[in-house]
Formats: sequence, structure tokens, C-alpha cells
Amino acid sequence: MLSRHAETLFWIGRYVERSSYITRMMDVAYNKQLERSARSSDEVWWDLLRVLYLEDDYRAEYGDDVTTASINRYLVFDTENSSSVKSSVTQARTNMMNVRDIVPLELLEAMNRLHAQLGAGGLEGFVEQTPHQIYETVAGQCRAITGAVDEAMPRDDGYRFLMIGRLLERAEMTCRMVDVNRTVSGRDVSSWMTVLRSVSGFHAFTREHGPLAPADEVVEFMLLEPSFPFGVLHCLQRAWQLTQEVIGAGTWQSPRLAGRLTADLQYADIPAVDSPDLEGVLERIENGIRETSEALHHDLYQFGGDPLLYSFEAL
Amino acid sequence: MGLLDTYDPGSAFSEMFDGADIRPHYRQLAERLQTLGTTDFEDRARLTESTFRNLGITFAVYGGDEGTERTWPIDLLPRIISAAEWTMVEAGLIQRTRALNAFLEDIYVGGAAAVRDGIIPGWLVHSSDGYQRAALGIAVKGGSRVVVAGIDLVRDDEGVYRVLEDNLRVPSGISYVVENRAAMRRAFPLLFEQYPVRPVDDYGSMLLEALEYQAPPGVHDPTVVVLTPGPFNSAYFEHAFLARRMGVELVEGRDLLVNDHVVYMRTTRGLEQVHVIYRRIDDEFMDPVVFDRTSVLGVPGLMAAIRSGNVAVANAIGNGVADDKAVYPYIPDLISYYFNEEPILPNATTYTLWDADQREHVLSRLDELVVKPVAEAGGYGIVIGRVATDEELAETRRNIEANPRNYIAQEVVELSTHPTFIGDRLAPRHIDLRPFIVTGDLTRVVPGGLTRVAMREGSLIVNSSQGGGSKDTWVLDSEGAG
Repeated sequence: MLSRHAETLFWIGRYVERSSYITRMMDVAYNKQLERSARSSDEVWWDLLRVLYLEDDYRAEYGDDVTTASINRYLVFDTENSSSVKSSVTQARTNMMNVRDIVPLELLEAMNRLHAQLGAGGLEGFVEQTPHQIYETVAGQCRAITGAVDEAMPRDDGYRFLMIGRLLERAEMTCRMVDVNRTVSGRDVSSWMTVLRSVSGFHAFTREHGPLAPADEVVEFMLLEPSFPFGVLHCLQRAWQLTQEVIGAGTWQSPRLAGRLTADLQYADIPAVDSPDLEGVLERIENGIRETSEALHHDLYQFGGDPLLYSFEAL
Repeated sequence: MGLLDTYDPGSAFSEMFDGADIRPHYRQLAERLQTLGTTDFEDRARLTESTFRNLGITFAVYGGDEGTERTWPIDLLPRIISAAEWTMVEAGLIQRTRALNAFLEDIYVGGAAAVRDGIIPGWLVHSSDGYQRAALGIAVKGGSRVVVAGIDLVRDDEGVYRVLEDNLRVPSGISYVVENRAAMRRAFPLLFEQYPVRPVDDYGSMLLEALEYQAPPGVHDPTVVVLTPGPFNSAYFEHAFLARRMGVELVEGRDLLVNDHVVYMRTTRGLEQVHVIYRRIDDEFMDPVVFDRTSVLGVPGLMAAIRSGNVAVANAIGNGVADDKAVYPYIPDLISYYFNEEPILPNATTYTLWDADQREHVLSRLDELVVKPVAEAGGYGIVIGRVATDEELAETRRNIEANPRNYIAQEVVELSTHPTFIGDRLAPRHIDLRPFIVTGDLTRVVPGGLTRVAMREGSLIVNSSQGGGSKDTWVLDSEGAG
């Protein structure tokens, strides 16, 4: 497989996961602000913006007020916002068109459908009254993409890189999700249950721990439960395994970094929800993911030099 | 009321009608049409469009930033060519392609016998934009310098097939031939039970075989790649399509590197040697060391690797000299010169403008003729005298006088017409045909080719970049069923 193809598939995996995860987070926040508990509804949205590192950007564009309509417009449809769902989907789709020769047609079709739905304008009518219609549509189309990957992609390096991208993105987003809810809801059990629900983890969790377990157990579950598909440890272990399958030989840096990150987390003490140390743990994971991702790029182009540098030297 | 009841074929040669009668190979289609209504057609056209959109069967249009990616336009009424007619056309295409290959081989490695013997002037060859000194002396296996040719055919008012131009560098359109067929099968499956249509979807293996034939000596399982300028190229869909159909990698220049005159691609498992490159980028961008030094599309050192015989590229470098429109008038003579045969497919009547007598004649009839720049493709720069404004004609005159080598003039060919679905009815529209000819060990022709349709009434411009449409083209397997 061409290195460029592999890297592009990695980013497709990341962007698709990001769009789907952002809608999940919005779903949680939307439900949260409907409850009007401790925090006012706009505070809930501000917390989400903060976790996505988008607070300043939002203020610059939309000012100091946040409404259901404005936040949905900004996070879902605004193409000026490079982190919006539509921007991520467009990125994923552009990347996919760039490697369309190796992508199964089923996958290409699913991607084009999602892209068309966000582009057609029909969904934008829901921003004010019924935004969950948007979340459901995007989530459903993302599942169609995931299904196409699962059914139609041969298990070659292309599949592995796409999966590595998806898993690293998912691990990072789960960290952020824990981070949002930690600030927004503290120890409030019912909101942690909502979080679990949005990542299809509610049922699995209650079977293990019962529905009224303390928040600390939810956090530990989300970070360390190896059988939970959205769990950080689960994602990192799978990603580590896949980097090893790609390489075979031992000349790459990324498997080493992924392995170290996984082991660190596996044996880590998870601080209590209200402890300031939890933020540090989450930050360490996010940094490790970024380093692994960068190492992958270098690994892919270690033979024959970086193509960009090479073309400058040649001229 | 049937869709054909009010159809008026008009004055040009009609593919479907002979006067008031329907030509024999169109009769079953006509019967089927009588059972269909406008809404049937509209529904199927909508379905086809949405399938194409979801599969990303599109092409890019340059200039204008909005909607630069258009869904491929297909008209759901097929163009049908009878077996007997195709036998003649096919023979003509093979003959012409063999001659074009012979001419190129002659120019680049054969000592230019055709120039020596006075068939074509040497200055004309060497002044061509497509002539590449860098390709001089580079041999090509079997002399197949044109592995893929697209030779545009039109039918005049007598129904005679004529060659309008040769495309010997990076002709595109074959992917749409295959996709149009797939679309027709979805839209009108029953028609295929009535017509013995020759298949077109084995193009991938046909092309791969021809490319593998070019492998350097001693390489038995060659690695073939398709080289594309990238996703912004108007034919990117086709590049991806071909790589997919052949099961080979689609590479960009930056995926390749040359080390010690050997070409490699960067893969997840390290560097892998490449033996044959089906390139879809123009000569000038192939190698910044030899051609345009600012180009980042190509691969530095590629020409040296080709010359060393470690890698083959198809189509060969320098083919543009043979599809230069000022060289085109000489092709019939070259056919006779190399093979001692009569050309099967005639040219359109053409005037060479560097010849003073012909130029005078043309300048006196500018408002009746068609003037074309010699090195453009895609219908760009063409001036059709009878619809041009006085200013355009004056400018054309100045251009010709300033650089007569750069233009040719042709008599207008009243392209044949075909019933085409326009709005809610069938109307005649002008069409042409771009067949694809593949040369490896042997020269073979894909049955049919891309039929392009000028969608505006009376227009003769069929290029998709200029708003043209397309049709599935059926070549029938035997006369009996047609």
C-alpha cells in the first residue's frame, strides 16, 4: 500500500469519528441543558465549547450569547469553523475522493450520502426546535460508514490505518467527554448515565456496576474497561495491536509510543472525579495520542525521505 | 401517444431514421419507446443521476468556483451501431492507429524516412509543440508508442464516418463508456434481452495486458501504476477508475522517486520498484529535470530512468507530434506510405494555413469554415465561422496571419443527429464518437466508444467541458438481431 494512501485513510478514520463523536457530545449537552439543573443552559454549551477548545473562536464569530440554534449552527453546519461536523465530513469526503481508487464503492457511497445530507440544507431547519433529528441523522450515516468499512474493506494496511485513525480519535474524544462532564456535572450520577448512553455504554456498565454506581466508577469504566468499545484503554490497545501488524519488522517508532501509552494507562491510578489530578491524567493521554499520530507520519515516510523535502532538494 | 410520434429528424444525417423509416437496427428500440411515457424516462433519469452522484461519477470543470464538480451527464437513449458498420469502422481505426505508431517510431527512432521521402515536411514535424527532442532515440517495445488512442469520429450528411482528430497523448473518456453501460443496465434492463450488445467492461484487463507488454526485458511479473496529476484534474475520476479496474496503485509524482535510474514507490512496507507507468499527465510535467523545472507533478530523474530501460511509460513521450492538427492532413498519405493501403476512414476536408494559396482561400471564406488551433484539446479555441461575430472573425484572421502554422481550417461537418431526451420530449441533437484503441502486442478496439452529444439545439460542440452530454454506445454482436 502506498504510504500516501495509508496516511489519507488514517485521516479519514479520524475525521469520520470526529464528526460522529461531536454529534454525540452535542446530544449529551443538549439533553443536559433541557434538564435545567445546577447550571444554566448556556453554561452547558460554554463548557462544551471549552472542551473542544472553541470558546474564543465562537465568541469571535457569534458574540457572547449562545442559543440552541446558534450552537447547533456553529458546531454542526458552520464551515468557517474547521472543527464543525460539516467541516469534518467535508474533510473526510475530500480525503476519500483522493484515494477513491482503493476505497470500496459501498464506503464511497455511504460517505457521499452523509456529505450530501449536510450539504443539502434540509437538516439546517432543525437547529432550533429539534436538533436531535440532526444528531440522529449524522449518527445513522456514520454507522453506515462504519458498517461499510467492516463489511467491504479487505483487512490490509489500508484497513489498519483507517482503524488506527478512528481508534486514536475516539480515545481522544472519550477523554474530552469525561473532561466535559467532570466540569459540567461533577458527581451527578444521572448525567454520567447520559454520557454512557451517548457512547452506547449504559447497558454494559449497569450490568457490571448497577445503575446507581458512583461517578468515579463511571470514569474508571470509560478509561480502563478493556471490553468497552468507546473506552480509552480498549481503543489504545487495539490501535497498538494494529500498528504492530502493519510494521512486522521493528524499525517504526509509532508502535513503541502506542505501547508505552497503553501500558501507562493500564496501570495508572485514576483520580477521583473532583480531584484536580484527573485533568492531568487526561492531558497525558491526549499528548500521548498526538505523539503517536506524529510518529506514524514519520514512520510512513522514513524510506526515501519526506516527499516534500525531497522535491525541494531535487529542484 | 408514443414518444417518437412527433419526432422530426431534421436535415442532417439521422442515426435512427432513414427518411420516414426507422433503420432496421433501431426498430426494437423504437417499439420499446412506444410503450414508454415521459415520466418513465424522467424517473429513470433521476435514478441514474442520483446513483452517479452517490458513486461520485463526476468530472471537474475548470474556471468558475461554484459547482466545479459536475455529475456526469448521460442521455438514456442509446446509440446503436450495427455489426457490419462496426466491422468497417474497427478496421479503419486499427489501420490508422498502426500508421500513427509507425509514424512516431519513424520520427523518434527510425531516422524519419517519411520526411526523407517527402511525405511530410521536416520543419512541420520539428516545429510541433508535441515534438520532444528528449524522446529522440528512446525505443518502445513493439513500437507501441500509442498504447491508448482516442480517435474522434463524426458522420457527415451522407453518413460517412470521418476522422475529426486524433488524441494520442492522454485521451480520456473510457471510464464513462463503462459507467454509462452500467447505468443503462440499471435503467433499461429489458432492452438488453432484445439486443446482443457487445460488452465493454473488460477494459481493465485489456489495458493491463497492453501495459504489461511494455515491461522491461526479464521482468515477468511487472508492477504497473497509474500516474495522475491528482484530485484536481478534470479526469481524476477516470484515473481512479482505471487503477481500480486494473488492480494497481494510483500514484502521484510525490509517491515516486528515482534512485540510480530505477523508479520506486513509497509504500507502507518500504520502497517498491515500478516497471510500467500508465501516465495521465502531459509530457511537460513528467520530469522537472528535463521539462518544466517548476513542475511538482512529475518525478525528477524519470526521463533518465526511461532512457536506461528500467521503466516504461505509456503513452510514450512525444506523441503530441502525431496528433498536432497541422500534421493531421498528412495522416491518410502516411497510411498509404507505410502500408501501401488505401485509408479506410477519410479525414474531414482540411486546409493547411501555412500554404499561401490555401490560406488565401480560407481567409476569403472565414465565415463558412471552422478554424482550430493545432495544439488545443477539449473544444477550446475553436471558431465556427457561421456563428462567429465580426469581431471574432477579425481576430481569427489576425491570429492566422500572425502565425499560420498554429491553425487549420476545415469545412463544416454537419454531424449526424440522434434522438435525445430534451425537456419532456425527444429531439435531434448532433453527436460524435470517440472510440478507444489499445495497442500492446496487438491493436484492439473497445466496441463502440464514447458518444458525445451537443445538448443545445443546432450546436456542433460536444465536449463535456462545454456542456455536452453523452450516450451509451451499443455495438451489436451480429446482424441477425439488429
